[in-house]
Amino acid sequence: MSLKDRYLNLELKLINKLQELPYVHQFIHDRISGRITLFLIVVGTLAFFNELYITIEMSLLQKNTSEELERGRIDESLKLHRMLVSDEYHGKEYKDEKSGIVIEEFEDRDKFFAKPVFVSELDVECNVIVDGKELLSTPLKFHVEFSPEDYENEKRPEFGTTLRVLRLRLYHYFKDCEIYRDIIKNEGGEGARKFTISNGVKIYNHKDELLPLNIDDVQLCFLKIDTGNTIKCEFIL
Amino acid sequence: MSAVFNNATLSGLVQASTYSQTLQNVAHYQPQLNFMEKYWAAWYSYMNNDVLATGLMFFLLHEFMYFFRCLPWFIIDQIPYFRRWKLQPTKIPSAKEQLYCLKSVLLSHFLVEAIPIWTFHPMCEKLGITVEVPFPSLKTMALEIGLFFVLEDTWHYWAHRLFHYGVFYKYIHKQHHRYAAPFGLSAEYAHPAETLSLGFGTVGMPILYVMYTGKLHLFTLCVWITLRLFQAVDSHSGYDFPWSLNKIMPFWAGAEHHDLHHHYFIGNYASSFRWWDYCLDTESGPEAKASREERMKKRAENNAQKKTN
Repeated sequence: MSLKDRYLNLELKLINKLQELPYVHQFIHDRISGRITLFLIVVGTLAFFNELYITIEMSLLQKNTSEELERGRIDESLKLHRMLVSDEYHGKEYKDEKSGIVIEEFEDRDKFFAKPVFVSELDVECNVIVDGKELLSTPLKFHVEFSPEDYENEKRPEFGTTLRVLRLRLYHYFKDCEIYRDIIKNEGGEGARKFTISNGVKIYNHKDELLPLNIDDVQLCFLKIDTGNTIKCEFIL
Repeated sequence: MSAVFNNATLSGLVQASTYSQTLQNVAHYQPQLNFMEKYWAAWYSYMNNDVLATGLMFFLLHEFMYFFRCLPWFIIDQIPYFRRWKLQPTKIPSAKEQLYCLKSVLLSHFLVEAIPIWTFHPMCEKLGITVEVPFPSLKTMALEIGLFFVLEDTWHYWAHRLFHYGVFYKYIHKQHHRYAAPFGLSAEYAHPAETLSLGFGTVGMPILYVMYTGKLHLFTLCVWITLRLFQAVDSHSGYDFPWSLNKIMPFWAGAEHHDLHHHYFIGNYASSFRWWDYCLDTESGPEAKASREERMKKRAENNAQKKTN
């Protein structure tokens, strides 16, 4: 029996088996439809396992990064994180001389999925500390959105906004508040002189760890902050 | 026997050994049918197996319409002249990247879409979706398709918004956002779970409709899916021309709406129309963001309370 005949014989047996299966038999009316059904089952099964493998692999990469950042310390060493330093985690642009088009070359897929997700929005509960005492029983709750304008000039814009932007944003939100103006009025201007970005805005991450000034250049996604988190802030007057 | 004529005698008369002969027979015995109806009837009569006919037609329709619509955008991406209308002119995907996207989309089509498409006809029979000729009137088709657009947009808005939340984004939707500046092929570049979920809006709404009304024609469904594919590809094209549909219909989303979503990430979750994002204050863009910020600050200040001594 030739190879072709053996294949056709095997195919026929498989199609006959499929015709006995509940629901599947609806799609088999003749040899052609049987072959299509068999083909889709085989190819679909292969594709399913391939896709499942990819999904698991990419999910593990993402999860490993998240766990690594969760375990890490909040200090200046974050500035040298491999994902910030290494170019292989980032796409690059170049001008195609032939067509004059600026081409964007993306990073490899595994590198893309390994990167932390940039922070696009946050809720920040802010209290005011005057002479060491909390002034507010219900804190100011700011919903902060970040947009490409906040980070497009960063060296690594894929990671989104840095801590500096958040600190500056919160500083200006508070200065625009009536509460701030009332305090300044009562303090006779002394409070305004004491309130600065560097000394007056203390930000805590999702784990309630204080985020120091020396890491203001680091992106929020490396500081145990995720999109949609609610974090705390204190304005020190 | 095909259900296209619901007449065994007529089906026997028109069927022939080749498609072209079948088409001639249909034209001879059913001269009142229009151009499209004749081709439709000939296809089903020739195949003489509605499961096979529907499955092949739908799969080929999807592949042809999707890639047919993507091709112009691929060509345009290679021509600097069109840069003036590119929404993010500094970001042009390479041919290599588009090829990678193509391979991923093809795999998804076989995994996620081919099998459901192949199993579609028995479900049509159970639900009452018909293949017979003549087709419904243009008015009926237009109303049904318009309704499907509205319902799909609603589904897409809420499902898409969910995919931007926590683990749904991190492990599923992130794949689709690999491209901050989308291109045509990226319309269906997505995790299979997302494809199935958002795809329900396209297929599920007609199913719910026919379950409620008991009447829907498969040709209407074909037209709807074609238009939906065009909408998806065009919204990811990255180009906003002076003649784009959103210039004529201000509530139409278009490429500008979705490109802002990819660029700003927050907002513009709907697919076809702008009204969900407008009404629920989830629009993208600097103006919407500034407006939200002002309202947020007022609300925050109103809700804050000082401690009483």
